[in-house]
Amino acid sequence: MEAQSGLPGRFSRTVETITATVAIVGGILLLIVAGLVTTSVAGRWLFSKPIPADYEFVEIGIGVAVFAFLPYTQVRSGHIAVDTFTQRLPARVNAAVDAVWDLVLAAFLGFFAWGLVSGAQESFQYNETMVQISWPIWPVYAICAGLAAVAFLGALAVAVLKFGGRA
Amino acid sequence: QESVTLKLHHFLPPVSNVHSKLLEPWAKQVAADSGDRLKIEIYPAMQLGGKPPQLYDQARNGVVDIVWTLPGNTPGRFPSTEVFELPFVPAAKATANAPAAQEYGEANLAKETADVKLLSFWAHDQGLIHTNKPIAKMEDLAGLKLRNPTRLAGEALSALGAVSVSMPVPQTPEALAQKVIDGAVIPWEVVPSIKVDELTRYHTSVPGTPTLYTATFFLAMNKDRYAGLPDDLKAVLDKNSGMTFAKLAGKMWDDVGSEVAAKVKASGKNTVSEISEEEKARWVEATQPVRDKWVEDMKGKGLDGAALLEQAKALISKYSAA
Amino acid sequence: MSGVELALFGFAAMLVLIAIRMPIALAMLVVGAGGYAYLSGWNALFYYLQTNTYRQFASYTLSVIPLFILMGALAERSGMAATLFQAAERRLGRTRGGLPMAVILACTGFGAICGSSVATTATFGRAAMPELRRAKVDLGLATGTIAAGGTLGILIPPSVILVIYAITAEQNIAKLFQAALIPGLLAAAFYCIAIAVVVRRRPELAPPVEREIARLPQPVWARPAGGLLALAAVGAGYLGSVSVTAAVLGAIIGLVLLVADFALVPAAAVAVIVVGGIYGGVFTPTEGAAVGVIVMLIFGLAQRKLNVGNMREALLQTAETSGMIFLILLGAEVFGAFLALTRMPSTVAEMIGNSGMAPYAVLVGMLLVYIVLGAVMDELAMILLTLPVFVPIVLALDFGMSAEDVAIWFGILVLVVVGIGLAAPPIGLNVFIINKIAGDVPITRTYRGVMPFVIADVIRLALLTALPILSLWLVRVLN
Ligand code: NA
Ligand code: NA
Repeated sequence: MEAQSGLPGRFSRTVETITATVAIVGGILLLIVAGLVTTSVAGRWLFSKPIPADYEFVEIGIGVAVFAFLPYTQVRSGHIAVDTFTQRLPARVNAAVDAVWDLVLAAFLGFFAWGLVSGAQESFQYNETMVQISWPIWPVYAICAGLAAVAFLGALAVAVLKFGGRA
Repeated sequence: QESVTLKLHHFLPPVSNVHSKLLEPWAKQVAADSGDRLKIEIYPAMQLGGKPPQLYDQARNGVVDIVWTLPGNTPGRFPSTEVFELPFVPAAKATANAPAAQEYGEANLAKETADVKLLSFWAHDQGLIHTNKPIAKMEDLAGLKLRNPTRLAGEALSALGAVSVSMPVPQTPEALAQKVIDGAVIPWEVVPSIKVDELTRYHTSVPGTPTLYTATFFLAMNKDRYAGLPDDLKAVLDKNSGMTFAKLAGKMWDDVGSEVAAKVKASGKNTVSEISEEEKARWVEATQPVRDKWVEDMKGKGLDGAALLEQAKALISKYSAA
Repeated sequence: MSGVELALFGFAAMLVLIAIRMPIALAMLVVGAGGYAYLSGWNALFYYLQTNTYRQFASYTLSVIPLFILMGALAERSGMAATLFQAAERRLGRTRGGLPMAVILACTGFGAICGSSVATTATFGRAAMPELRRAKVDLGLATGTIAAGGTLGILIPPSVILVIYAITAEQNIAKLFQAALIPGLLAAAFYCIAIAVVVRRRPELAPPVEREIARLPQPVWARPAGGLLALAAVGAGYLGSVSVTAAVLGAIIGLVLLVADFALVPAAAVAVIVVGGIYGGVFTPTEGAAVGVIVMLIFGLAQRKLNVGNMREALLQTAETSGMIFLILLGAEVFGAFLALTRMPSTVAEMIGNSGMAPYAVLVGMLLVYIVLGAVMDELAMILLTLPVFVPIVLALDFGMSAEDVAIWFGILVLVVVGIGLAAPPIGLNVFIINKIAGDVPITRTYRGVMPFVIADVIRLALLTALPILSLWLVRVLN
């Protein structure tokens, strides 16, 4: 099942490669989070030395990872939809409807990206830091903004492909 | 005549003391003083969306009208508030800390909270160390895994030899129940809400003022929303905020605190104790680097930490004497 | 429009959008955002959503979801899941419905380490679905089993829902976990009975296993490594260089390695480390998810079952499923905020609370509200919106027991209705997740497949409502 690509053609292969790469980076981040927690747990248990602010690193890591996953989920049509009532309609109609929803989702993702950019600016301006250690938090917002932008572009690309009857 | 409904958003459950014994009576008082023209609808438990760190911005941006929040939720943004959270600065009683904080806030927080209408700024009573083994001296803390309530309290715990563990509040009772941590550091008011009295047996405080730690709170309102109120309603709100609110809050923490302390003492299973004055002197000395480091850190933010610290101490002794 | 009317309109709009193929997460997002703007203005919506995506995704509590999904994907890729199910087949393959029952039992065991229903569903969707497919179990029954089995993630302690309940009702989480144990095991038993009844009536749904099941391979390193580990653990414990818990844990792992069915050793070791770690006070359940991933990874690499290729696949699967779940959670948050603004949940809750009916009638009324709401909305949002009103009302009712007993009992009932909501059509998160992971099963088929389990749930709810002692007995014995 994994080998089959949802989107044929060179453009779609490029889109899928990019989003898959971003998703893998997110997955590696997830593994790093798991390693960090395990190290902190072991340190706390064996040597009374937990990693300071470990739970905050978990939050940041998971937050960024989820943003990195979104474009891939989008491109793989991974969001759950109910097709029970529309099964009888021609495939082209359904593809067009799906494309419209992709555009709606793209609008939200674009807005989220923009919101995170301004969130990063404000966080920078207000010198916001992590709770337990004084590291600035704005780069996290900036990274998430970038990833949301990738998801926005991914959703647009999928919509274009579906309108073109290629998906 | 125009009547106005304001949305007040906070993160605690409605059964909490803050909701039922502070915010609800306060909203009632405001309604009564305004002849039911100024209504405050309280939305607990982050029902209107978002996470606790976003509360301040929700008030700033007008997502809601009023928020109850902790400056510590958005660390780095309100450095001047941190002085009350330093170890062995605050008073044992909230009835001293709260008005001291309010007066300090009026003098020092205008710039940091310029983008909201700060209705009140206050601090709770003494925080205690709740553990599964008795604490009489600093050495008893060595290696104990204690959940810290704030970054600065965490630094204090480390300075005293304990293992400062950071985790969100919801995880704390679970971690205590499973003995992943050996204790938690919180004021009495929070104890029944997360059942720390059932999950730990020893409750240790330091005698008198200054005490180990406290945390500070904001009641903040959207600026435009405040400016848009009719003058008479503005006056009602003014009358019920600032020092009035801080004193109300201080009283709530002290009342609930002594109630809970009495109940825990009476349970027979728990031991409530104070360390000796001599021992406290050692703790104060051991945590001196935390205060020094804070003063040093403030330089980098263009603040005169030493002066702020002196001012806070002076206000705390002023209201402790009162 | 009154708040209640507006909320009903919102539900209707969401269901219509879902019926015309709009992704469920997006439908909740669109209606929630629209309603929010209608009630609070565009400015408020705008700033509410500004950085809310990050804040919702960066959740410590929810971190278990991608971590457990990754653990499940690694278990599948490292062959650990297949090995486990082969072992189960060898013992249960001759029983009708044996494999689906084995899945329920495995979910029960997994529920002891994972506190999230969504993560349990996704994990078993990845790990058990291929095996159920291979054994030619009817796809409706297979997906229904996993959707129902997934609820054991919250029904068996630890449980994220109970943690939220404990915070909202200010109750002792340790006692709530104790109270949940018997009802949780009861749920597993009821699910197995449901399977037995279904396959008895329609035997073709779960054909007996016909093919020869291969003997499990035996790694050469297991026996010596186990012996050495047990000796080392006991020695180190005796000399006091590690804690007693560590020594006992090490000894157990060593002994298991030494004597057990070899191919099952890695899976058993992962389970022992995670379960032992949680119940031995080494780490919290949330941390356990991370530890589980690392232990699984180490075993997979040590056995040379994991390589760059299949790790890449595991990460991509995790990405796809996690992205889907978190977007739904975001949509549910926004929809929940809109509902809070309408004040519909609190209006309805107050109506029931102030109705002056007998305590049991009020309680049953609340449970019915939960079942109705649970059918059309996300459970987490549902309890966050209603508990603040319900809890004070319930605590004020006289059931002839202490307030704490009532609070604990009600917590267990809430847990059960949340479980029903997660598995019950039409809006059931577990159903959606397993359906998406299975890929080729029409959702109506999963709906039908899950219905026997929902019926079992309703019977169990009635039983737990009628007999509070089922929830309270263990708490009394242990305290
Ligand atoms: Na569980
Ligand atoms: Na549901």
